[in-house]
Amino acid sequence: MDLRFEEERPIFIQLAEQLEDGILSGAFPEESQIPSTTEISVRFKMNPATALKGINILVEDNIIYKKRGLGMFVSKGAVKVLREKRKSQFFERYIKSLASEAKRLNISADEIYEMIKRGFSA
Amino acid sequence: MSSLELIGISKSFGNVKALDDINLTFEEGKIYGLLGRNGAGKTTMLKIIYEMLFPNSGAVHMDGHAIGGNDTALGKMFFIGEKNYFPEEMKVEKAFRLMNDFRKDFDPAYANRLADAFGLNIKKKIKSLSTGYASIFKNILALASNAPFILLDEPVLGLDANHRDMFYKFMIEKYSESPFTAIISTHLIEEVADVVEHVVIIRNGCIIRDEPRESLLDSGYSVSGKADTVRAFVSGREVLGTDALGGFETAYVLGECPKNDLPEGLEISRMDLQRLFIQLTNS
Amino acid sequence: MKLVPTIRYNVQDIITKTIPVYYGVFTLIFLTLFSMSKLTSLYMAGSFSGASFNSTVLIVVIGFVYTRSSFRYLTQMGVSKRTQITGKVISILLISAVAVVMDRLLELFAEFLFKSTEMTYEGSGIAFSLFDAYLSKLGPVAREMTLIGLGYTSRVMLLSATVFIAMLYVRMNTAAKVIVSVGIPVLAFVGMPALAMLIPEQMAKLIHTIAEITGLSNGLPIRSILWMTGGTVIFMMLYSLITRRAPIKD
Repeated sequence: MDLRFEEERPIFIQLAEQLEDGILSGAFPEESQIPSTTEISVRFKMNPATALKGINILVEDNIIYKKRGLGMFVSKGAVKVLREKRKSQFFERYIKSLASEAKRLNISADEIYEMIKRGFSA
Repeated sequence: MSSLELIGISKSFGNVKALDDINLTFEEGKIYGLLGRNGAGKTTMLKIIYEMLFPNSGAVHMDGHAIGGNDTALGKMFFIGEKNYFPEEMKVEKAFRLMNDFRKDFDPAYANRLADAFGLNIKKKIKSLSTGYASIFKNILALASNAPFILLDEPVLGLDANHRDMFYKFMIEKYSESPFTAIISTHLIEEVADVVEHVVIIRNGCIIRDEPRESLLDSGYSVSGKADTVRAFVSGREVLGTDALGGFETAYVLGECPKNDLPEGLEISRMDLQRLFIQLTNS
Repeated sequence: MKLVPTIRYNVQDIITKTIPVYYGVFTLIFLTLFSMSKLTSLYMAGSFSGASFNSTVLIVVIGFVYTRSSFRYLTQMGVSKRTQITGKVISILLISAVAVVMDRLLELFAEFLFKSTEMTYEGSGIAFSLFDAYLSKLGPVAREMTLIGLGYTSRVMLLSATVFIAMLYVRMNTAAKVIVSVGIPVLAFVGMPALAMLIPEQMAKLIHTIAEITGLSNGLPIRSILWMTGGTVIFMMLYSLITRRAPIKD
């Protein structure tokens, strides 16, 4: 896992998303332990309060849960929940900006569709 | 709960007003970034807190009582600055030993572990250390002091990128294990931007910002696009400054970011701490 | 409390390093002179007085060398000015005590060593020349006590004065340092003689009165001890006054 933060969004939100990516990619399988707040904050030179804030987003969404005295673990079914969540965001995050850029460049929907097919087969 | 409070601190050097009626509270267990341009008064403020300088008016309180030469209150703090206040002939290992004598919370084993990690030769005389290693030596004293309040004036001065990285990591590690208050004054804002929880910005001896980093970052945004569109958009808003490149302009604006009623062709982004700092302390 | 480590820091190096080295050197000098007079056929005679061989020089050096650096170091360690002042006063008393004992030991050693030679060492030479009449009337114990009392109070006053002047230099800016460094010698070597020439009678009277009060002219050591104690108190108070809110200048 490597985080490269941009300044566009608050850092704790970016951390939460990066942890989600880790879970989606299988780097943190379900029922496995994720790094502690200390490990995360030391690794990324981030204030522990900020790291905790990011982790808490996942706790609130039931993506991870706390085992008392042991640490944070990925919930069972977290991957499925995350996929649903990401899918629902997909239109807002990717399609909208794709469409607006396409309009600026006069690319038609059909052309985009071809490109998408090409992207999938690559 | 310990707290460190500055009440109405003013300080002049001759005709120059270095600090003008500073009122601030540093809470226990938080990492503060003390930011300001050269000569803004950062070092003066930290030295007044540690009684290395005395204010013309005002007082510094520890846990609600004026420090005024109280050893216990002073012992709750440890200050390190750019300058070296150790005797010429003293060796690093002796400085560690004496630190143990003066401050019962000092952790010599931890100090030696850090010296090892940084490759600091403890047999060397302090005055013979390079700028970078002199900073490392002082940082080690501060981190190993276990003081509830550590005041770090330019702690990464002369440190190379690797050592700076190590310093921040050791500090965060120590902080996670047992939180302390750190007040870090530095010019390398980008590097501490994620480390600090609370930001104090000082300009010409006055505090202009004193708030959590997140809310500070949320307090402004930048908007860019065609110059006339940008100008039309920002009119009536509080503009900190602008950057122009031909017909393209970026304006730095204070206020909440208007996500919705955004004219076509304008792009809005969050400012990072460094950019916000530059805009707030320009001129 | 940081008083104990402060005193330890102030006196440790001086008592364990500076003083042994200083007296070690004199012991060696005396031993060399002694063996030379015994082993060679050279005829050696002479007398050394205490003023050149006792701790006077040492004390002035200690006062000037350590005051600034210990002020900066102790402040860095978070020792309050109040504790620094108390620590300094106690350290002055301790160092002076060690010095006076060492001086006396050196004197006894030299007396013993030079007994069979033509050389003499007068460690308390000044005291004897000033208070000879008074001292010769005393028994051995009372005389020893008086000598130690004189030696101790004079060293304490000298060290207090040096520490105060050294601290004054820490607080003064460059211009003030120059004025004081030039002004005092000028006053002493030009101003005083000039006054003595201009108003000789009044000056003579003043000096006479001072000598009277301090016990120098009438051979009363107790008076000397008293005025030196008073001088010490004044120097310590002045030192405390300028240290209480002393800033660290870079």
